This record gives sequence, C-alpha cells and structure tokens, in this order.
Amino acid sequence: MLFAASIYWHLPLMLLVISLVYSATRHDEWDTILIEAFRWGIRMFGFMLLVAGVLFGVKYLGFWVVGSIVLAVMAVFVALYLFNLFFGSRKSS
Amino acid sequence: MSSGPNANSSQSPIEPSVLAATLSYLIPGLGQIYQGRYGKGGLFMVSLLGMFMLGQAMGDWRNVYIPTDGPQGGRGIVGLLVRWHYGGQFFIGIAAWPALAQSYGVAPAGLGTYQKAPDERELNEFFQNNDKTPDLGWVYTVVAGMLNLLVIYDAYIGPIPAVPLRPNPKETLAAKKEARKEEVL
Repeated sequence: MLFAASIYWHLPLMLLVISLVYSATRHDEWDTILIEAFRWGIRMFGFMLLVAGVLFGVKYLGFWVVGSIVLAVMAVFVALYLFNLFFGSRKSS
Repeated sequence: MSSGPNANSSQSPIEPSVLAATLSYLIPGLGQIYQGRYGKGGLFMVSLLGMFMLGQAMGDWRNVYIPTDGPQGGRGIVGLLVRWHYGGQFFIGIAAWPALAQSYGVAPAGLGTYQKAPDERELNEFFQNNDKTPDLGWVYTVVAGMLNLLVIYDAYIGPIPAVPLRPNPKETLAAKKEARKEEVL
C-alpha cells in the first residue's frame, strides 16, 4: 500500500542523481566521485530524516513540544560550543 | 578559448572551452564527451535527461510550458514572469526548447501539443484529482535544469587535476587529539 501510493519512493532517486551529478562535477576520478557522492548522499539523507522527524513530531506531539525540544537541543549545542571556546583550549595548553 | 578533444587526460588541465560548455547546455554531458570524458558525459546525459523526462511523465507531460493564454499569459520571457519554473527547466537544453517554440507559435506540426501550455481548467482538474506526484514532477524537471548549470561549468573548466578528498572529520579529530597528547608529553 505504502509502496504503491507514497510519493516518497521518488526521493531516493532524486538523492542518488543529485549526489552523483554534484560530486562528478567536483572530481574526475571515479573512486573519488563515488566516495564523495556517498558522503553527500548520507548528508542529504540525514537532513531529510531530520526534517521528517520534526514534521512527524509536530503532527503527533504538537508544535510547542517539538519547538521546545528543538530549542533545548540548540541551547545545548551553543553551550557546548561556548564551553569549548572558553575552556577547551586552556585545558590543553 | 576553445579546446580540442582530449581523449586520454583526466589529469591534465585544459583551456576553458566555450564550445564544450555550449555542447553541455544543448545536451547534458555532450561537452564532456567532446573532451573525451565519456564516462562522466554518459552519467550526466542519462541521469539529467532521465530525471527531466521522469519529471515530465510524473506530471502527465503537462509541467514544462510557458503560459500564453489568459490574463497572466505572455510569450517567451513575459510568460516566465508568471511561471518561473521554466527559468530552471530552460537550462536542461534542447529538451526544453519545444516549450519556447510552442510559446512563439513556431513549433513544427510533429510536436503536436508536447510542451504546449495546457488548458487552465483541465490542468486544475488534473491537480485536484491527483496526489502530490505531479507537484514532485515539476520539481524534478527544475532540479535537472539547475544541475545542468553545474555540468555546463564542469565542461567549461575541463578536466580537473586530481584533488585529494577532504579527510574524514572523525579521523581529523583523532589526529588532532593525538597531536595534543604529544604536545602535552
């Protein structure tokens, strides 16, 4: 049912073509083209998963719950970055 | 500016070639094939033209056109103001030219209604009676055209000297940690 009806089965094809063509315009050797295409494929797939997760979260948990989670995660990342910026380099020296 | 076919050099850089870029605009990958980069040319040709045609098929062959009738219609560039999609689709090359010919009324009889602006009411009914597949279809066609811009630039520049890939970030991090440890010791 899902296989027949969902439009999302078209997305892997788009992912494959975009990552292959993009990396082939950046490199000329087939091994580097394929490695870079794989890396870009993973990055784009991860981004799409993230967006899908947020959308499903908004649908089933509500906007404010997901918004709070996203803000909390962003705050943790900013805190870690600032901590590393001010204390990370002192530790090693 | 121009450069001849360069069959055996994927390593040696050549002069930027307007001819190769033009060929790659006309048919994706043709400029690379002209430069002797047959594999890449074939990859671009199959994947971009395939993506463009698949996109058209998903939209029932009614998503590449320039509107000519109605209050919002206009020929050529004027039509682009109300349907910007064609601005992206145009860069796929010859494959999108029938829409221009249909817009200016100079399409050969053999084309029939291919890439001709569809009737507004029929188009609305088509979109209302379908899922999101036709919408994704025009996205495919625009993305194929935009990707061909990169292919045109690749043909213009010519073969790139082998550049090592950027190292894996995890490996770089591990190497940095090792270096720090050595500094501390």
